[in-house]
Amino acid sequence: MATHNATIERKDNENATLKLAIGSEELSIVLTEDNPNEIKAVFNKLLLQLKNGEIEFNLTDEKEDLHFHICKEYITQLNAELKSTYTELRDNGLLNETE
Amino acid sequence: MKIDIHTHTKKVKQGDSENRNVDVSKFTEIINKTDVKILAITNHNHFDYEQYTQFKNSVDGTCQIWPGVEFDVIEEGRRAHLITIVSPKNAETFGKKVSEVIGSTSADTFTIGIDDIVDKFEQFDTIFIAHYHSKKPNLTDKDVDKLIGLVSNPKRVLKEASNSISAGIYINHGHNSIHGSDVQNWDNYVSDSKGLPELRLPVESFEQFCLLLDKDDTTIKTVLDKKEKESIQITPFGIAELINLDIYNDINIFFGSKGTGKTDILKALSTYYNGKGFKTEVYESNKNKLEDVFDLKGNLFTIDIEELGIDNCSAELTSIRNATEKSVTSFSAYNRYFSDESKNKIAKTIKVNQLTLLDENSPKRTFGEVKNYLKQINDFKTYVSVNPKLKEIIGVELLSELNGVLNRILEKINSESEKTFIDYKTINFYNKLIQVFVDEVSRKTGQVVKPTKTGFYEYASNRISIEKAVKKVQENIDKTITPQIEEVGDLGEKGKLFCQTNLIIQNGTIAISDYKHIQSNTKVPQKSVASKIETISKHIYSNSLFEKIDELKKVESGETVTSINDLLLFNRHFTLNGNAYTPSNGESSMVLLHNELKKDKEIYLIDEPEKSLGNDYISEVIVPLIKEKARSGKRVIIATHDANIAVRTLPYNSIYRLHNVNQSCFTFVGNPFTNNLKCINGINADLDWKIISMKTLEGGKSAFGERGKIYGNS
Repeated sequence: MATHNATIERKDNENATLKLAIGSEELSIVLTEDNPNEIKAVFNKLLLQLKNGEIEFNLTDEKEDLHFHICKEYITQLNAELKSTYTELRDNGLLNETE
Repeated sequence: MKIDIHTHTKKVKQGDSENRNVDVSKFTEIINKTDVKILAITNHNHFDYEQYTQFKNSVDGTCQIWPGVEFDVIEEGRRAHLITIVSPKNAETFGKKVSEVIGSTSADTFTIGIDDIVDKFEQFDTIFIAHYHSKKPNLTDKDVDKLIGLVSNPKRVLKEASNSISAGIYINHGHNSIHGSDVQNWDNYVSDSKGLPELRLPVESFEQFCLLLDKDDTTIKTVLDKKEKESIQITPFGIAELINLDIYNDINIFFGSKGTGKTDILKALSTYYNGKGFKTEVYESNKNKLEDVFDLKGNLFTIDIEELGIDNCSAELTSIRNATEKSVTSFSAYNRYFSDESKNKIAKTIKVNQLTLLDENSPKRTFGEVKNYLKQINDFKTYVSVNPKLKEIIGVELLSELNGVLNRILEKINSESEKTFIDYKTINFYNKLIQVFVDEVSRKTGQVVKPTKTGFYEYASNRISIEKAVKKVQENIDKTITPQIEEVGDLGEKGKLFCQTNLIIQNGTIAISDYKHIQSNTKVPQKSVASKIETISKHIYSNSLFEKIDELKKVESGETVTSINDLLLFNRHFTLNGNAYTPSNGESSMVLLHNELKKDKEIYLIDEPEKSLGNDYISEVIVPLIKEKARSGKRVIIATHDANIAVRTLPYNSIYRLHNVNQSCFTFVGNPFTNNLKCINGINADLDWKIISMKTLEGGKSAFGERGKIYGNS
């Protein structure tokens, strides 16, 4: 299982983005906006990534502010769901053969 | 059943081939390999009674051996050969007479006059066969006339032709003619015997043969009566015209001018036989087209794609169409929860609601799988126990062993089932507990509900389901179907004609005009539907997936495609030597008639089989097939204008329909053996079968020219 980094990018007090780094690609979810399509686009990429192998994220952040608490919980839940999804992909024979 | 009236078993003359010598074992072996059932031993100026007896006994029950001699005749200084065949009952005395007449003269130098031959040998119930015309050395017409004048029964004088064609020509000119092998080399006899004359009537003895030569009515009737027949009364033209017919389990020919109601009689016979429980219908040439018989347009073609090992994917197509997007948890839900810091003391102390949900889907799937195994094995156990035939076959001991093994397997699966059920339920209850606490804490304290999942799993699971369905549909669409090939018939030298059905599944790109849909002739959107599925497959993990699914749903009349069966395309055509081929009308007729005759039926009712067919095909393929059916005791009833069929098959039963000047029709029955046709109600005088056949049938004269191949008439 590959562990990737998750970080929080704070531009000012109002705007913050959760960054999920997968290799050279970085997936971003703006924490301060409600944009389901943006989340779905990230989920699609995570799904494609899962087809190549099991992954999880490790949140690294120095501030213990609201964004940190949100992201910590989110990453914890996301990791559990990534694991379940990987198992489902595997059980259905939908993993990429190169894996 | 073939007859050979001219064979040599010994080199008697110096000019004879050594290969004419044959011993009893070789003779027996050769005869057993042929269809020759009557054979006359006719050595030159020589009769070996001892050898005759040996040969006769060696093939007793298989082939009749008749005694004879081929005499060198001198008549007015002309040399000729005259075969004398006598009754086997007189073989010994005949042998003595031959020895007495020839005396010590060598076979090379012995000669005898016609008067002497008749004088010395007619007493043995003799048939005289004169070398004639091209069969050298031959008797002249004058010599033959003299011979006929001397014998007491002129019908006992036959002319030997050099081959079947010559024999046919002589018969056509009113001569009694036959030909024999005049065997030169016994090593070639098996193949040479195939060209010998065929005996249409089963001749049981020399005496019966002589009576048939005499056209003795009683004898012919006796022979014909041995053949199974049925007396039938039909009324094809209304009750006023009753027709009583004997239909033989052999060849029955209806002939007569056009418009004499032959087809109606066949149809009435068909009705009669169907009423008796046979399944018959009149095969009418040119009525059906080959392309319709083989349904090239596919009007009646149906196929279940699952029989071809292809899943019809109806469930998958439905699930793709019904798929809806799953929502994801927005970050504002997290934001609200964490912004609204919990102030309630009790709420702060509760930790359960802080826990993360666990994956309950994997154990749920595992439990489902184990449950399915359990069901399958239980079903198998029930199948085995309730099937008495199977019980009988495998036996009590083996059955009990199998039950023991199955019980052990079930025990194991049961225990695994319990384990997986507990695993699944533990997580399920755990997750429910968390959810209950989250909801209750929020309800009691007014605290914002804590999101328990990001929504990724549901979102992903939904896409996985769609991918699975699309993948399965595509895999089945991409399957290659082996063409269905059915033999249509034989086109002789050209080769065999086949009907090939190519089946392909519309994948969204196929635009071949030769291919048609099986399920519907209307313009339905198979191509668009298949194309949209292809598009969906490329957007499974993109935000536009559901736009693509909507496009599928919006395809006009797309709902008519409910399974892969609806995407099936076919092209049916004839092939010859692997290439597409369009048979001509004549070829179609050939194949249809051939196929009709190849069917295993008790009764064949065929109307004008000669239509659109060449003489060669009729003579070489159809006539032999008809004869084959007759030999196997089938009732072959044919209405024809073609002499190849009406004459060359030498039917047991010829039924002639006469249309007189008063527009009345009369029915005559007869056969080639008696050579006459009798009016069934006795109103008209008897007719000559040969003359009527020659006059009425197309190709009548030439057909008689070929009849030398077959003994049976003059």
